[in-house]
Amino acid sequence: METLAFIWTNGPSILHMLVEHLQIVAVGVGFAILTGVPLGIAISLNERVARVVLYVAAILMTVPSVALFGLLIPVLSLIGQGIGFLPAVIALFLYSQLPIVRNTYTAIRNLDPAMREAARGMGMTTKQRLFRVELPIAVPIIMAGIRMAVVINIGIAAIATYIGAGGLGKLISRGISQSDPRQLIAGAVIVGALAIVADFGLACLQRRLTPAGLRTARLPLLALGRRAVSADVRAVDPITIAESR
Amino acid sequence: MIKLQNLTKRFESRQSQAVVDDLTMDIGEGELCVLLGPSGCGKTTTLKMINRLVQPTSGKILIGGEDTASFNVVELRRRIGYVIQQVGLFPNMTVEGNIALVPQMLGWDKARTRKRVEELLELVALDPAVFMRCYPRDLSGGQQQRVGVARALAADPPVMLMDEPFGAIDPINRTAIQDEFRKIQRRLNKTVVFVSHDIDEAVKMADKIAIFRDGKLEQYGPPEELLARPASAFIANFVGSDRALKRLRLLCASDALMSSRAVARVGETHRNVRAALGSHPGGEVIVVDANGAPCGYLSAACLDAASVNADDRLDASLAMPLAATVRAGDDLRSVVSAMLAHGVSWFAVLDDAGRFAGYVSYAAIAALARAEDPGACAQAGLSVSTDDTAGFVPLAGQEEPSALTRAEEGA
Repeated sequence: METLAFIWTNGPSILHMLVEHLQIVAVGVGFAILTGVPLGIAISLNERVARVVLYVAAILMTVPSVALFGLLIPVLSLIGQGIGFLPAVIALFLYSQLPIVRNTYTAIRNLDPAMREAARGMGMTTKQRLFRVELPIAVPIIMAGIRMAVVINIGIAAIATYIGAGGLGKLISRGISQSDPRQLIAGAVIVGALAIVADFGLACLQRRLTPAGLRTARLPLLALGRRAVSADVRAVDPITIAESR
Repeated sequence: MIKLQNLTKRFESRQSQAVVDDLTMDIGEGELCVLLGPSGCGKTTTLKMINRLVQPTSGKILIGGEDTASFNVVELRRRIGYVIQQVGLFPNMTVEGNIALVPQMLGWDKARTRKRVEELLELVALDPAVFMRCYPRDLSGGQQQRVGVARALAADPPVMLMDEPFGAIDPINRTAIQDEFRKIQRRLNKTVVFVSHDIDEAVKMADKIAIFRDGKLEQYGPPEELLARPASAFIANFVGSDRALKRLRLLCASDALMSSRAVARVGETHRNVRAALGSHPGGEVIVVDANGAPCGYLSAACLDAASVNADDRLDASLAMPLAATVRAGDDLRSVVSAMLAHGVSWFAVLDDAGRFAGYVSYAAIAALARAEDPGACAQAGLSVSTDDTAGFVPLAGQEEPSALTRAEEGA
């Protein structure tokens, strides 16, 4: 009750934090999509390069977020941006690479070779194959990677408050330092709810982007995007990852 | 139409041995040529070199007199239909989208493309109203391959390449789709290169069969020739020890008709029936009704048992029922099979209207199967060699039409 009252009375400032939070995630993941999808497609052409890239992306994922923020401070200080929005966005960008690049790579690699051969045999150019066949079929799996990145990064962005990037993490950190359970709980609940809502929203988008010929039965309303597209994706549930960080 | 000249392919990983080794062959326009052989013999590689999915190491491929190396690869492929075993329909597109793909790439306008798609679906026996909007996942394997064939035919290419196209379809549907495709191919006069490892399919479909072994062409010729005169022990082995039976499949019942067409007509005098029986080498004759449709058979023994006068008229009730009859168009392999199944040594052959057209006997078929060259045999008039080999007496009946009633020939 107290927490609800707190949220109610501090509505405007919490909303402001929410917007900050979303900005960091949107910019970080947005750039990651712009680079990660083409990178995933590019490395699908060469297995050796793919292994190296995915390995590096996996290593990035293992760096604890606090440590990554710390590492970025001296580097970005060189351009006077050691703390604040930029390092937070860069960290989120890096964390997004693994799910997005790997899912894109996997989706393209797992395309039925017969389909690719048919496409080549019919006289489709590389570009036509990519845009008319390969990408449309890969969309569900790529989208699953993006959802995973978003959910992970909503969690990580909460920690970015320690480098002065703002966001909902502010509530949590203040709750800890002021021993104020209202702020702490409010921050945690809102971050969690945000992750769930974002994942659900993206699940709907994923469904809309999936070509009709590939759609499975109607998405159950409360599946919260857990309906994964491939076995590969199903193995790593986005929400458990976010929680474990 | 398609000329392969000294075609050779070596893969870098297997430098020493050529996958296709100095292959030279011609495929005529409108011919269906089956490339046949065990796996790894180079037949698929040869096929893929024609549309340059595989680049030849050396040698030339001419299509309609033009060197394929002078074409842009993408344009070349759009002019060649390509069908593969796994079909490879694009799941994100409807049936219409799949078939329309090549016409679209060639810049056809919408109305023309749509009309073509409908036309093609009808050609492959799928109702456009039902199937156009379907997605590939809604179709059975057989239906998918029908769409695959339609897609390959979309831009009306003169040449089609098919890589074991019907290999993954269940046997019942496969037979149907093979028959239909053969009809379509003949009607549209497409030159088809067809890879298969199934000798039965090859014998059934091919105008010519090319048998490959270790990248070399072992024998190239019409199916009858391969079955009658295998060029080597390898081919004899490959076509199988039952090649005599396989050859029978290439012939139909009308090819093996005996020269005797002696029958007993219902309503005839028993004197004439006796004469017909005497003139016919089998000792049994067919009883036909007024329309020429068989209603049973008679032997001398049952006439004796019936104790009738020579001037009495033949009654249909005297005839013993026939185990089975065959149609003139039935292939001899199934005729022999039916003989074994019914334990008889001869059948009455019916024409399309269901009237008696002649007899086919086991001895006649056996003689035909043993004949050195079935083509020559058919031309020379089968009946002579057949009856001689079978040990049947040449028929007096034909010279004495008064003694027996002859069924209308081919009526």
